[in-house]
Amino acid sequence: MSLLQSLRLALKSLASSKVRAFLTMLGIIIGVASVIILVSLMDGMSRQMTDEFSKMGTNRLTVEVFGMGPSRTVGPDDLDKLYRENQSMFAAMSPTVSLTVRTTRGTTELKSTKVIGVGEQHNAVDKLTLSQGRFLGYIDVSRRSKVCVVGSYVANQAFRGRAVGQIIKLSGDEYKIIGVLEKKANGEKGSDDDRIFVPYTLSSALGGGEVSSFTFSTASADKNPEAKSVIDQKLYEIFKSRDAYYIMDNAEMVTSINQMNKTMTLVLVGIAGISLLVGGIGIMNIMLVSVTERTREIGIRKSLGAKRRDIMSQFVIEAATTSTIGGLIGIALGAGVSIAAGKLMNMNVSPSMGAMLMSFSISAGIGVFFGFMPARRAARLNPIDALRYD
Amino acid sequence: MEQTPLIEFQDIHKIYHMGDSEVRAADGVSFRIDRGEFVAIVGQSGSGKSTCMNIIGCLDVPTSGRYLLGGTDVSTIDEDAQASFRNTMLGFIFQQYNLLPRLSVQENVELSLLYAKVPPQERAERARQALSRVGLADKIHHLPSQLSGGQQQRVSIARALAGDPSIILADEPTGALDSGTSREVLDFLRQLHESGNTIVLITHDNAIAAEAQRIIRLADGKIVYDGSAVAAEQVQFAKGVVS
Repeated sequence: MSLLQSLRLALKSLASSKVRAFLTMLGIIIGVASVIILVSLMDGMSRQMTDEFSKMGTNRLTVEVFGMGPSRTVGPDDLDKLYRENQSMFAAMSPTVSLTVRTTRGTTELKSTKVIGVGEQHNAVDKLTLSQGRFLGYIDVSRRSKVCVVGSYVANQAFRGRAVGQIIKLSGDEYKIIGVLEKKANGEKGSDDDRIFVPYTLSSALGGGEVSSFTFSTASADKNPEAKSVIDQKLYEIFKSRDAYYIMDNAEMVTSINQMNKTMTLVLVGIAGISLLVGGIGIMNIMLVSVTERTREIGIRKSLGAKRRDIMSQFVIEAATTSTIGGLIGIALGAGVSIAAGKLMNMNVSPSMGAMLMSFSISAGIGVFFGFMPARRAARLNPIDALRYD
Repeated sequence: MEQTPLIEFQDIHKIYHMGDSEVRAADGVSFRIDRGEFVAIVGQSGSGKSTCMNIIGCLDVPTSGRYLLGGTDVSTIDEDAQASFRNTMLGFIFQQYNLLPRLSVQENVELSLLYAKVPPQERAERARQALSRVGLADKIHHLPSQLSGGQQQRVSIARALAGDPSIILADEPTGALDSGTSREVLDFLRQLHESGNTIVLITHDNAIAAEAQRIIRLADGKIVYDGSAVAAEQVQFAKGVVS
């Protein structure tokens, strides 16, 4: 009997008991769908996280100094010196300090706006571009000029787009706006466009205390390990302890996030894989029942000249057809749910092609594997007993 | 020169073990059936006629003895080789018709051709011819369940004919039919015989066995009579008179 005929026969047999066929497939459907959904969502999440870091740039190191007692501290000058001594590996450096101040424009208060003290190279470090005016300069920082650069949301919201030259009040002091940033995030309230940058040297005037966070950009991401060890050496020399500071390497973070996500994906797919296994056992179970039910049919076929391999292939193909159809339904379901979930979670999710191919071939394989035992039992039936079976 | 017999049993024994006791279902059976004969194998249940039918039909092998089918010793061949012989040499007609309920009449008739790897078009053609021989050419797309018992048995006859077998082996072919349709089926078997087919009929019913040319009567696994059907009837009659 040819493959095509066996396939037709299998489809006919499945069509004759649709509910049973569907229930048999259900395990495979759920297994395949969950593998695809999990892999696609993890992919999307991983991509989102790495995107976030790539936007910041992987050639970036962030140093947080916690200090060790009052005597030994590290200030902007120390790290600035370090930066200037190692121009071959560093591209830019900016001290960073978050400030909690009351921001007002006339009588309205901008409650959501974040005020950040930074150095004059912060635009390079943070990949900021200006739409109007200029960024903070060395002179502004060293002379503690009361100037600021505002994000696009602030400019649009408080100044209707014409912000340069205008005055904004921070903790009651007047600050002159010298530049407006290009839209960076979604341009909404509380986003990265709802920010004001002031010289970090004004930190204490604005009640911010000592600057303890520094952002470096390196010449390129492959210089990160070298740059990290230079900073680490310097800080270790001062503090004699690695508990006093922390250096985050963006490139390293991306790698470790990817690694973590890969591990998570594997674990989740493993769990989903168990349902594929259960689905396969379900198919085996139904095929065994089917062989028993169709003992007489097997006897008739044998009496008409069917060889063992004819019966064998009939049942294996039937099992494989069941699981393959289940796999296809599972793929459709998985892809659909992945896209829907991505939309719902506001995430860029595309169904993973690899997961689809893999789960499709696994489900077809499961049919062959779990169909084998019942098929062999069918093929080995004695024709006389099979013919007499009621 | 003597013609090779189609079927030749040489001292066939078949022993079943049931627990401690052994059952001698065939106990030294020897006979020959030539091409073109119409033979009835008769006996009560337990006489060994079913065992003989299974062996003739290549559904079973004897414990000892030789079975020559068309001159070939088939008593020791493996299952797949048996399947080949069933496929090419034998056409079965069963008491319960044994049609596959999910297949159409035509597909049922095509089955043995399917296993003989006959190409689809020829298969369909031969199935249609066989069905028109049994007068069911208009029912080819029906399911077996849509036909009467007699019609189903005719489908199974068509199925047996489609493979163009050397022997038609009919196992109680009228067992499930009323007397009218039984008559039809028996007439049909006789027609087949007249057109040159070799027919082996297995039955417990003497009246049906009388349709055949020759009767082999079995009792307790042994042949108790082998001769013409007419003579057998006389023997039966004589027995009746004596008792």
